Amino acid sequence: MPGRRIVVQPVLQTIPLVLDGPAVRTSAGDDVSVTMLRCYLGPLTLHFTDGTTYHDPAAAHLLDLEEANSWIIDLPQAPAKPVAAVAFSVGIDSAASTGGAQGGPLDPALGMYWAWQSGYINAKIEGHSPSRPASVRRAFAFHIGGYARPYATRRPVRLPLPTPSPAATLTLLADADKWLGAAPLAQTPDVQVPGAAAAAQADRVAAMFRWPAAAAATPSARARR
Amino acid sequence: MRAASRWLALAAASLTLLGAVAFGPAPADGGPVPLVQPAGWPRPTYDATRNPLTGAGVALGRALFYDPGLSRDGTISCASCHLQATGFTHVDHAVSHGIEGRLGRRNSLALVNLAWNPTFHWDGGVNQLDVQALNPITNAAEMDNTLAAVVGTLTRSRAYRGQFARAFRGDSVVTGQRVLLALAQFTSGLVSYRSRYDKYVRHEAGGEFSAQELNGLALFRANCASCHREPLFTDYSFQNNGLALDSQAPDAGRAAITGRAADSLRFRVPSLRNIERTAPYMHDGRFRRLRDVLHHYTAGLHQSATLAPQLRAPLRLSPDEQKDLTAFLLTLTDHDFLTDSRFAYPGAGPAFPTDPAAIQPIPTP
Ligand code: HEC
Ligand code: HEC
Repeated sequence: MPGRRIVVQPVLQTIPLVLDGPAVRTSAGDDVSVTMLRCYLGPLTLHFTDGTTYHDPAAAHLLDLEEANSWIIDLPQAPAKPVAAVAFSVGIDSAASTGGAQGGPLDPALGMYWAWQSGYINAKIEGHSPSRPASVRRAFAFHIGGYARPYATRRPVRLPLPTPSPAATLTLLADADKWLGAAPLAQTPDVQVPGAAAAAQADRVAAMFRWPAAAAATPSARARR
Repeated sequence: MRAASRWLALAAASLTLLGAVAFGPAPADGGPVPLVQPAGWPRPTYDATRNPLTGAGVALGRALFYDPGLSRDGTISCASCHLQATGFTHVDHAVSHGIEGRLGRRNSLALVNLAWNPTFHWDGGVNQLDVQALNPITNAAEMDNTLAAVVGTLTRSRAYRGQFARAFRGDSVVTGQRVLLALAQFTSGLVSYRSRYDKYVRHEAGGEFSAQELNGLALFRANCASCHREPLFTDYSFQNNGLALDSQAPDAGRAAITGRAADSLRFRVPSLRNIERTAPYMHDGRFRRLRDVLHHYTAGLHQSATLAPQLRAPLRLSPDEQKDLTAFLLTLTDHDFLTDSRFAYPGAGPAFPTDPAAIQPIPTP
């Protein structure tokens, strides 16, 4: 296939993240089992080593743990030049959130649009934490959105490759530990409205995305230099 | 046919729409229809270039509006809470009730002149007309459904697929976006501009005011119009008009959306068009009669930090003045709007199939 492919791999630290999988311990010490993970990425931009860029024509990409294919983003028109960095936003821009009913990946039927306070939900994670004592609430749910300042939740992400890569497929990680492991769930088990708490959570959502350590020096990249 | 519809669109665009019907003349082929723009009104806020009104789109929106199949158990339609005869609100219910008799939180709003609203709902939480419909469809106390399930049900109906094809350039695919856009095509056309008051300000036949009504209008302009601004009878601002907080069902209003203490107990100023028919009144439906509303403004104002400055002192209106003011408010009843057959139940049009035999398989492309 011509063009480029970006694969996003959902993990928790180093363990592949699976829906309703066995509980995994976060950096904050909570054992968590994830029952839902959905996240909007805006259109991607590839930055090449020669200073040129390629802009993904898609309106958005909805990554959904229930749909394995949603984590594969094909860019058939992208040139085969070495990529220096990949940039995208985590979340939907305010024009779409204020522009009424949208279609395609932004169709409100996908369940990522708030009814009572208009705007997209940029990311959702839900699950339970069986390690917590039975006397406390074990479920957690974060629905992060809101486009109005000062609590806008869309975050720009720019990921320079440690070594520029001409590979057809580039693989990113989405590490849920950066979101769920940032603070103990006992502190905040639930955020489902726009506001200061959502804006703080949005930083963690964006922090999930990174290159795997191995990408620092892929053989093909080294050979080309 | 193409040329004819273009000609019709042109002819419609050059028509003076004043006195025309609310969607403008509907072309027989279901093609473009203009939104009515009454003389002296501001421009609508609804961006119809995003969702161009067509006869077929409006017809589809109307069918959906009256179809209880949008609710989870097939019992509640939009019209259950928005009845034409009562100005498209839920008559006699302080707070609306939906599926399985569940009680909602607020009094149903009258659906009127929605194309001019900058925001929707009592707290302004909704920013566009077409995304508003997500609320009733998904609210557990209203239709308790999901938009995805509505799309699925509609897709199984051959009649609806045909209607979607007519409304969306020959494409019969049902999507969430299209369901919402079609509903907005119908609701944005619910324009009330033919009341006796409108005829009075336009100096038209049937617009004669009695001395009492004239005095009522003067009192209205002096006491009420700073918020209930003509000609839409709202300035769409959020105000605290002195209602005491209901401790049983506290509702912070606008503050729930903005998170600002200054917005506490502020609600959107509602239009007063067809006010004679839209009882009960206020966001929680606490007043049953206009008399109770005037008693509130003259003798029942509750002081609080966010109370509107105009209402810090009770309004001074003698019993006779209150009668005159009420007489004026009754001139806002728009009988043409309340009985307009184009807004009514569409009758035996396409509805969700209740007979399983009538459900068509989804064609594979
Ligand atoms: C169970 C009763 C109920 C049903 C069913 C219902 N509504 Fe409503 N509607 C309400 C209530 C209550 C409000 C006010 C909500 C608020 O302000 O929080 C409202 C508000 C609205 C508004 C906003 C009006 C404004 O001026 O801001 C629109 C538009 C609307 N409804 C359209 C619809 C449509 C379209 C449907 C069908 C898909 C529908 N409604 C079904 C009760 C209902
Ligand atoms: C400071 C702004 C303001 C002024 C002045 C004002 N109103 Fe209101 N009015 C409101 C607001 C805000 C509401 C909705 C309050 C709520 O439900 O919480 C309202 C609600 C109403 C309602 C109920 C409408 C409905 O559909 O439920 C009526 C009737 C009404 N006002 C009439 C009047 C009259 C008559 C006057 C003058 C005597 C007046 N108002 C003056 C702000 C104002």
